[in-house]
Amino acid sequence: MNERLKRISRLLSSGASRASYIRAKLNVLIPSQIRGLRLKRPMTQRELADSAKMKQSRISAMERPGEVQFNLETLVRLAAAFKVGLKVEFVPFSEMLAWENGFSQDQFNPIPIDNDRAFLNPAIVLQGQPVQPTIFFPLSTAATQVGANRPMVISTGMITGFAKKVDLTAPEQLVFQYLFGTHHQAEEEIDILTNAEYQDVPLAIAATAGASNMSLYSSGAP
Amino acid sequence: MWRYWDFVYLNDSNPIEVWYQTLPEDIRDTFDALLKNNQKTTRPEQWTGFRKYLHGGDLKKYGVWELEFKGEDGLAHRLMGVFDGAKKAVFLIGCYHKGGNYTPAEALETAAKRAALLAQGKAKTSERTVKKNL
Repeated sequence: MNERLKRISRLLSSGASRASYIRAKLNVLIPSQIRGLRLKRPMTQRELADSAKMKQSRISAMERPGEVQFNLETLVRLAAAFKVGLKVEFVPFSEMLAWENGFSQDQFNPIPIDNDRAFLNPAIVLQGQPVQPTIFFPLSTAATQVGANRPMVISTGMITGFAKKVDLTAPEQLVFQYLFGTHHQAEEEIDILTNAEYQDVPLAIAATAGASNMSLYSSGAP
Repeated sequence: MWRYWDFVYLNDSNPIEVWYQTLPEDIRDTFDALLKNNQKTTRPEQWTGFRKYLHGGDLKKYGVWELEFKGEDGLAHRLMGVFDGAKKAVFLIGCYHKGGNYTPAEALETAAKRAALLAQGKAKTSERTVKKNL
């Protein structure tokens, strides 16, 4: 029996083995998240300690694998100091392994609440999620959907997710703010025509104020 | 993606694998998880558990560093190594550290000695597989 099968057998039969396995993963993944986030902010251990109301030596220990047995309150205080949320979830072992395999300290960088527009204003499409078709108010009868090139990310003043970026002009940004800021009125319908910078194709942004989705359409061929 | 290599004597004796096999299961799990995690971290000074020796004669000369991690036995396990080329980390010796002392006591000297053997071509390396399915 190979090593993996032996281990699976123990995981199936022994609660202690399962606990040990889970603990070993978390002993690395939690310190790695703390270290990764702190370095990206960037914060010194002292600064993080002050913010989380802990000692610097405690932060140092928490960044070392297996050094600290974390309790939930400690993680909550760290999350608050990093200005991010915290998700604790029971999952299948396969999902835990997939999380571990996919986790990258380099890539790990949850946005702080200050920039979390999806949280601050739920009308905005969540970052990283594909824009879903929504109520569409065509700018012209010639408008056609861009299709596969739907925008993936909406950020202030800029639409990304295309092969090219489209910078919005100042007036358009104002309309964006109007659309997604605090000034919008429910049920209001606004269409925007952006510059023709994207392959000389005029772009129309159709959205409803207060809607959770928006779509990007082209009046020319995709 | 970083790759890891064990120090191996020319007679095929692999002291890193011997050390690994003597570890309790939970320590091996932590070690495996650490390798998997750090493999994806570009800058080694940002590796979780990474410690770089800035001083210490041969250790400085050969650029020996260590990874540290703890398991359920409460011991601070250490693995000393050197970098060898692009994204290649070579493990020299496994040990643990308690009360300011290494076990085995001559761990630092052994690391420096093995680094020298590698530099002189009097030892070889064997790639350590990172477990993705466990």
